[in-house]
Amino acid sequence: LLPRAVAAGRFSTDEPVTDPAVATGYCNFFEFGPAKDDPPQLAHAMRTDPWSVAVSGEVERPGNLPLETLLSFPQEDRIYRLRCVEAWSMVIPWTGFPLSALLDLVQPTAAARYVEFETLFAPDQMPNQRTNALDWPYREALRLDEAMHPLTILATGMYGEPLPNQNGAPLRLVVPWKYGFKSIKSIVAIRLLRERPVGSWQARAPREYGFFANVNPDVRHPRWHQATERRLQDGGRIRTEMFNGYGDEVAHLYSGMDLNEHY
Amino acid sequence: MISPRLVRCLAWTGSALPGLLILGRWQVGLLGVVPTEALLHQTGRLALFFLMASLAVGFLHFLSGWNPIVAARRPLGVWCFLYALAHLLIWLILDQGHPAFAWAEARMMRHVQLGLAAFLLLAPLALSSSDRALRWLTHPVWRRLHLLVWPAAALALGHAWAVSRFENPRVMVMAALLVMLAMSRIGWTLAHRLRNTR
Repeated sequence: LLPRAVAAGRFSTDEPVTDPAVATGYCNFFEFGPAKDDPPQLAHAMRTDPWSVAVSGEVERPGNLPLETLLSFPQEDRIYRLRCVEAWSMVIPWTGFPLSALLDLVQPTAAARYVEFETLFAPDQMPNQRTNALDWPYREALRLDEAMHPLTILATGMYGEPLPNQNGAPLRLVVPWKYGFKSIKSIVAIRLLRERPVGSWQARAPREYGFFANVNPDVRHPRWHQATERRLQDGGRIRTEMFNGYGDEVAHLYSGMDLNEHY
Repeated sequence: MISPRLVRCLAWTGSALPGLLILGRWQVGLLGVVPTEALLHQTGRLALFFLMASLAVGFLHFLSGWNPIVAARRPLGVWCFLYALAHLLIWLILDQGHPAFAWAEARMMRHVQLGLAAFLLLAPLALSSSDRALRWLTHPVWRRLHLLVWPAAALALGHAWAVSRFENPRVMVMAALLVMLAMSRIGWTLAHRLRNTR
């Protein structure tokens, strides 16, 4: 299923784009295993057709959205920096649509404060889900204002092609100012909530993975000194920018918050 | 009949093989799409493996009473250092790329400090690994100096623990092995002393 006509997007960076062989060969998709080459080797077993997203919780119009409906939203190109919590980064041309388009369709109620996402749970197709490496199914969440931000997209393709399975086919979140683990892959469920939920990584190691997970060169991870990053594949090591360089667009979302505490 | 010389030769060449294999795989592009990371991790694992292997020699000698095995210890130890040196240089040059970045990481990150400390303890052992150094230091001093391998191993395992995420069980197995080796060594030394004082 190829997304239809694609408009040149807003917010795109003109930095050199990462080689697609690297972006599709070096993946964190723990459902298939912890190694970077597990997803490219194993993700072909994931069935993405048919696909739908179950929307529930604090919405006026809950229900199942078939992928076809989502692909009929106006799609645009977004060339974004992607900064992983593991201190590497890529520049990826995504195709997708603002998450706000979907939320506008399902109409969050006045009580909705958070948007939670869930990845497919299918241990027969995703071998690492048979272990307890993480609390499956993988869950991530955004505050509603973060979710409605025009930078936040649901991607349906990359490099002008439909998303490869290892990159989160057929539908994934992309939140470019947050560490990559927030950009949840292969989404099957979206829930609008009153209370802040706990993400899968946050549940596993709350001291290491915060709810906000904004890219922040001043907040260290126990294993990764976040002041610098390796720009794959050959951009060398560069300094990490606050909010991954998207501060002009998103810093206002966090005004008055201590980002050392709310990491 | 397997002579110590044959054991030594086999240990020297056998220990070089995994390194050569990595070099070969690197050259033909078999290290994946981000070879720097593969080089970093694989040399680190090799250094740790050879560190544990060199420590295990004494234990195996004690168990088997087979003397020629002792000849494997020096090659294993020297190769442990060479793999650790490669690991350090890959981190410094290929991964960090700039002394300022490396310094910032070394100043702030526990796992870097543990790894560097382990390396600094191993360096004098590698430098004093020749027969000449042993004669110059005299045997009692040399033996005391080489007890540094134990704290070096503990630090190296701490480093491995701090950088691992899903490999923690493997590091724990190695830590248990290290404790077992250290206990057997202490027990053996005590028994030896007791026998000598009687």
